[in-house]
Amino acid sequence: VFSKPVCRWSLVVMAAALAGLAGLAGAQAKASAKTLTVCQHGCVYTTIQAAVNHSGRGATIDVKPGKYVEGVIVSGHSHDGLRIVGLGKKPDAVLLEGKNAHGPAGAAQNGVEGDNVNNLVLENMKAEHYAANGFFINDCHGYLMKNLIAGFNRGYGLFVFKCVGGRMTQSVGYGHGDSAFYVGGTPPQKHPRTTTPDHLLAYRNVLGFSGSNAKYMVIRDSEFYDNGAGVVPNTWKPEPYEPASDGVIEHNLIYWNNFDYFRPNSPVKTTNGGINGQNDNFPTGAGVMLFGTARWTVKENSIFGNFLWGAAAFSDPTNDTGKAISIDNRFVDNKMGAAFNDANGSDFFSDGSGHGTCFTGNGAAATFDTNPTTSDLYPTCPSSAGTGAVAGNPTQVLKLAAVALAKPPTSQEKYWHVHPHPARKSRKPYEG
Amino acid sequence: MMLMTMTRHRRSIAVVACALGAAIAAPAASGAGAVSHKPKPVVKKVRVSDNFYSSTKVGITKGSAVNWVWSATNFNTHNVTLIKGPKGITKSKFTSISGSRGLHFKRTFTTPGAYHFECTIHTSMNITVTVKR
Repeated sequence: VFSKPVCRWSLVVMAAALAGLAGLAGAQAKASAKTLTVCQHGCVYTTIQAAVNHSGRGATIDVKPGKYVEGVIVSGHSHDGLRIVGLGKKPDAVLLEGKNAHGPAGAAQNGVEGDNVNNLVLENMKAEHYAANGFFINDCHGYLMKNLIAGFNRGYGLFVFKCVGGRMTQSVGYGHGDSAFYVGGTPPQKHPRTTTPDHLLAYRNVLGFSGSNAKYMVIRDSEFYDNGAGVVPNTWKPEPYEPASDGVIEHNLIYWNNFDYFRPNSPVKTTNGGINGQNDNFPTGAGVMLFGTARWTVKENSIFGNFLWGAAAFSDPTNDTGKAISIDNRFVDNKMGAAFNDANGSDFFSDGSGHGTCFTGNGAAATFDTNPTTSDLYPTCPSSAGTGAVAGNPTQVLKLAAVALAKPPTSQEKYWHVHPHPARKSRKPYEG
Repeated sequence: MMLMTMTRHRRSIAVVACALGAAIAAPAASGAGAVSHKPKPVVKKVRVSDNFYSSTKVGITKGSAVNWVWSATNFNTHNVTLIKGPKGITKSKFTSISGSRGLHFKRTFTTPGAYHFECTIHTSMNITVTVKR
């Protein structure tokens, strides 16, 4: 019979041995994960795609500086945990070029496309001129997009769809026909995993950030300027998992979003009939627009110099599912135009639809786009005010419609309150 | 007797039917100088646009193909993904990559049945291809 201390020591020794075995197994698994190197001359792999084709779970693909004219496709869970990392000192040292790049069935569409790959890591690269998007991750659990640059791709810069959790960070997007950064189609989750877009810089895009039916998201510590509109989570019927819900927009700089991409010589194009082929246009000159969202909080941001609205909330009565309705959105403790001596057209616009949209602590000088027929458009938080329906206050809805349906689209500029901005270091206001 | 007569009669009918069948079948089999009733395989084009396929239903015969062609005016990203098809069909073989423009996706259908496709990004975009024998 063992004495108790001996028994304890035995257990400790056994546990240590087991832990050692587990560690060894982990180390072996790690050791078996491949590292493949890509370069244009003198490497086994001269294209990133070739390296992807020979990689597996947990592999790392190191890409040496150079210009890679290809559209990389990573497909299936046999690539879970794959890391594609540019080895340059800066992201633009590894350039994925979409011009003249060809894929299996025509033009290369995305710099990198990941389909059904969990925890894909894309790091330290630049993608430009692709027929669709710079970097695209579709249908996944977890991802990291870090230190990426996307410029002048037709749709989105960094595009994430139908993913559970993930992070895009320290990245830049400019010149996109839709948004620089997009996270949308988030599946509903019982125990939500947060998606974090942070430390992003978006300028001269149709939209800085957008996400149709985006959920469980914290957009923080980023800068959105000189876009048509800055940050636009929205509920949209053609994409799955309506509505956009449960998000936070915090600690961001959102300013000068007065890029009128409808002007004839705009370097950025969008569809003639407006965004997404619809006949209506997203308003330009807006900092934040919560378009048919539920439980989004906009807090502690600096929002200024947007010629139409600093921040707005409204429903989409054209969506016949009834899910694009403003519910319990909050605008709290933001610093608005007056704090920067750089007014927004109005700091806030609400159409009064749905219920629970409220405004607190945004400064005594905050301005509200009001009308004489109602006094409860901008209640303090918490609140249950609102029409309770997708249809908002008729006067506000007419104002919104006048902007969205302006023909030609450039004529929506007549609703802007134009003025010069105080200078900001390394930034120039750009209206198109 | 009656039974024998009927049996003979049936046999006669069977012989005549076989002969007729052979006569009908022979030209099709030989193919020389006769009109074939087997439809020629075709390629049907479907446009992939923001945010719809140009057709929601396509009917083809076995051996025909559908070629999806992305519109040059697109800004959104779309794909063609087989959601449901006949038994034994590998879905991945009937699933395109995602793209905006300058892309095409052609597939030949050799197994009869109904194939339901969707753009998984814009799920309101869908099309059923019905393949007949």
